[in-house]
Amino acid sequence: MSISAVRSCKLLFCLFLYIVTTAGALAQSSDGEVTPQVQDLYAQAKAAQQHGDTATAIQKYRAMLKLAPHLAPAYNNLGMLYFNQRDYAQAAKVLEQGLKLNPDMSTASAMLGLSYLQLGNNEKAEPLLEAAARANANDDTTQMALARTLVNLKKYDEATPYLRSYLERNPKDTEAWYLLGKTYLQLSQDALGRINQIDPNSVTAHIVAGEIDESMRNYDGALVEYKKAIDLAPQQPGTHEHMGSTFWVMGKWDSAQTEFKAELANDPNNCRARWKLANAMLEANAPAQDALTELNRVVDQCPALMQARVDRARALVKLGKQDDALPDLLLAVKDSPDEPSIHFLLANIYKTQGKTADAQQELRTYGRLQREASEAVAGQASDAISIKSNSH
Amino acid sequence: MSSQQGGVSTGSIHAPVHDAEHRPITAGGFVDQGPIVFKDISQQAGLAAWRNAGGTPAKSYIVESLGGGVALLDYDNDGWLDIYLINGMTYEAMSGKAPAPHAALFHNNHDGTFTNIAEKAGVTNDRWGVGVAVGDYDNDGWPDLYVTNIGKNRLYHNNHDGTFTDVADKAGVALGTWSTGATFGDYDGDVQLDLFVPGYTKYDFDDPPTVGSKSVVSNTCRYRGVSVFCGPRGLKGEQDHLFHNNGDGTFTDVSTKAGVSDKPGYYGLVSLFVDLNEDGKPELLVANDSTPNYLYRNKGDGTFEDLSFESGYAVNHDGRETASMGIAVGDYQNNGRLDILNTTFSDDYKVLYRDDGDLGFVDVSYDAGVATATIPFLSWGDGFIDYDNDGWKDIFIASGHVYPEVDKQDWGTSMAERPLLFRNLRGQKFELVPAVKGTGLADVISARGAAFGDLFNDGKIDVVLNNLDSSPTLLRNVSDDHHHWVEFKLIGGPKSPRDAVGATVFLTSGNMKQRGDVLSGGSFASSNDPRVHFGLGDVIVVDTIEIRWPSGAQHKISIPAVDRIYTVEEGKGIIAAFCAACNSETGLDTK
Repeated sequence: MSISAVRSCKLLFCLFLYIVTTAGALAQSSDGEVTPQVQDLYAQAKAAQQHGDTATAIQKYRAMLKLAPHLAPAYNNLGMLYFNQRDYAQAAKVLEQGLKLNPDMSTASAMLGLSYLQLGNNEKAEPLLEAAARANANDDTTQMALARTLVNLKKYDEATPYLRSYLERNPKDTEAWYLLGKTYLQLSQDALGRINQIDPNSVTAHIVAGEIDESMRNYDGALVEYKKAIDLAPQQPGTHEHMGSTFWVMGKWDSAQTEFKAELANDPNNCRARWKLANAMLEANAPAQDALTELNRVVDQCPALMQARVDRARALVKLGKQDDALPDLLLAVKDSPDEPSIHFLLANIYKTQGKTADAQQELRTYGRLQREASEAVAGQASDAISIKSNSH
Repeated sequence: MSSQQGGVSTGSIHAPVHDAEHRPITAGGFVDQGPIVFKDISQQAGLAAWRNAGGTPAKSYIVESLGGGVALLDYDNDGWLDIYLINGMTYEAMSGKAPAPHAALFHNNHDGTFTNIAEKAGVTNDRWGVGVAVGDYDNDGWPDLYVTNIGKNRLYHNNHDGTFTDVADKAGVALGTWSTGATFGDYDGDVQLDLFVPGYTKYDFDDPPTVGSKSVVSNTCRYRGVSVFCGPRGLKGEQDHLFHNNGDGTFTDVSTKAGVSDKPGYYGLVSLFVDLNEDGKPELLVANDSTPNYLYRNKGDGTFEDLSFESGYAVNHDGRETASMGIAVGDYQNNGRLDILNTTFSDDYKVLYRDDGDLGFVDVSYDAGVATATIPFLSWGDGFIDYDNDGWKDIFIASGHVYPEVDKQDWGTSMAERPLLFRNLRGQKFELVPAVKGTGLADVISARGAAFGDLFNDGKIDVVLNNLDSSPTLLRNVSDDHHHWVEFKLIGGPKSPRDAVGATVFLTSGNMKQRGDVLSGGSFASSNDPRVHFGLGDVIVVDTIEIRWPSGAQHKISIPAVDRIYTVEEGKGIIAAFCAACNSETGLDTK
């Protein structure tokens, strides 16, 4: 059963209670419309409902309403049955009629809001669901429905408090987390869009455009944008780092080094840029001693940057200083115990130190992590190929 | 830690290396003077008329890029090595518009020439071939051929009369997938050679892998930003198969039970049964393309333990899986342990794994001097060969790129590449032997399979290369050293496979102890001379020769003279000797 179906059932249960509690009212209202025949039809409708025969129940309610057209609860009950059958248009129609007769039926109002939401009529759904949420701040169904409605209406700012409130009570609802994430993403896009509206040729606008290109792996496009940012503000910290990072991701180590060096000229304290500079040097098989000099500086300035410690260990191993590399790796492995490369380096060092058992242990861990990773990748690839093969 | 591009796992981009004429070093760097080691005698030997064909020159699909292996075997037991060359396929032939390219079986005429008798012998294959392994699977004393294909494989049983019969279906080893470099070995000690067949990728000729095709998981069809054929990454991997020899002409697939089925579907290219821990039971090596290599320890109970990562063989020194294309094993340090050399993609060094014992291997490529020079080359077949008979095993590497697009770029590599020869400096280091103009080392070719052996029974190891979309290359060893040598053809007794696959020979002369093994498979999808060859330097007296037979028996023999090929039968000792230089009429000098 889907999450939305569960939510609908919860609401339907509320309505069922409503029917039960209004059964007495049925006999008292509508100025004599409630004849024994109507009561009999109600009993038949109820019986059919209990047997799961929704079609008969609908038929009986419709017959009832012909005899008692002012019997508001009957409209609501019929609306619920239509909703249950996902016939939202019919549900909305009869619920509207019922609420015209008695606008104070809050559950029916909420149900109508839900029907409007399902029909995509968000403007009509919003006030009804807002009222329902106000009436019952802890009703998860109406809160989520209202949040969806607001998201559909692009009222992201207004939607987030409802989603957060809902998630406090339902922290494992992944669908709600997804909706919240999407909402934040949209808010972020809107905010970034403003930058472009203010000045599409500003440094920030080009950096934002570059980041968007980069997130879509359009590295060539990203480089164009970052270059424009650099041309506008060659000495502004951050501009060269962006360009360097894109080259770095592309494996263009020499160009990456050039940009990171330019960045460090603007901001000598940028640990991330200095680490990436050193990493690019190692990847490009530059002298390990040169990389080590940079990495020593990074670790002094930013001791918590573990990638720098791992790379410092790599450089030291390349220089044959295995013993010196060990402390960095021991810190790094505490921070990231599931990073295979750290275990590989540790095995390398223990082997050099003659600690065969430790080396074997690290290699076993490394092997386990690598196998898990490759199995996951293979599994994903296999699934993707299956889906593509079965697509038309 | 890794840098991977498109469909292959390779190293970071390296600056191109050019020679004085601005050619990429892979197709240049020749010198005028230097030692002349190999002479290209393909034409005179009669090999040049045959050509390998692999799809189209554009190499639009991965299937067209692989090329084929080569085997050196004495199929007619006349004492001289013959040559079997795998062929690929053309699309015209597949659609019935042209005859299928034939594999070649070149019979050795004993006079420096060869005659292609493949049709008469019934071994033309006529399928899209990949590799060949040689093994006497029925212990009848005649070598049989297992030919792997993209499609059904062939098991060519030797009929003892110069012909073969394909019994793959009947034997249960035909498969029908994309099989690559197979290996024969008796993994369970029942005296019957078993068969391991690696699988590469799933491949559907009706839906070949291109950008957007259903068989490609993502866009792994670019290399250095240039569009190239897709794969192997992004394609679904093919499983590996271990076939147990039932001893009645049939085999049973025991891959899963034995623990070598390759569940993740790594892209297997080459395999080799070889005893790496000297317990008498062969381990199994599988070189995988762009995925970690396998090293399986033989547990002795019919199953294997996956020690790929624990042994250090799975990845290189950086912890990165390589695009492994070839396997060579040999004791380059003369310490009794078998080291491994794996060939890899361009922009990556070729990996020399030093055997530190107890199934522990260390990547010593840079320290040993084989890393830097090999980076621009995309290499395939390889071998440890003592080309100058000085008693130290040297390294030969065959190369050729897979992307024709490289010739339009300044990446420092080329579609056709020259072979590399490294001289072993007494087990400490290797040095590149210069490519002297006009010699075999200056041949710029698209080599794939490489097999090594003494084709002319003169004690010098020659090389045969199977070149993609081209005629093969026969490199005759013309090294002007005057070192001595000895070779052994082993025949197993009743408790060993008849062709002695799995046997090890230790030769001690002075303070040098060498090791040689009888193996089937390796290099790239190829099989080498089954005879064990030792260079002896200036030594003319060999102290001891110890043979460890697959049965577990160990025999010591002594030889009356060097510079001969001895046939040794388990339990009987030397039963024949051959000396081409001693008697020009028969060459036979039986002791």
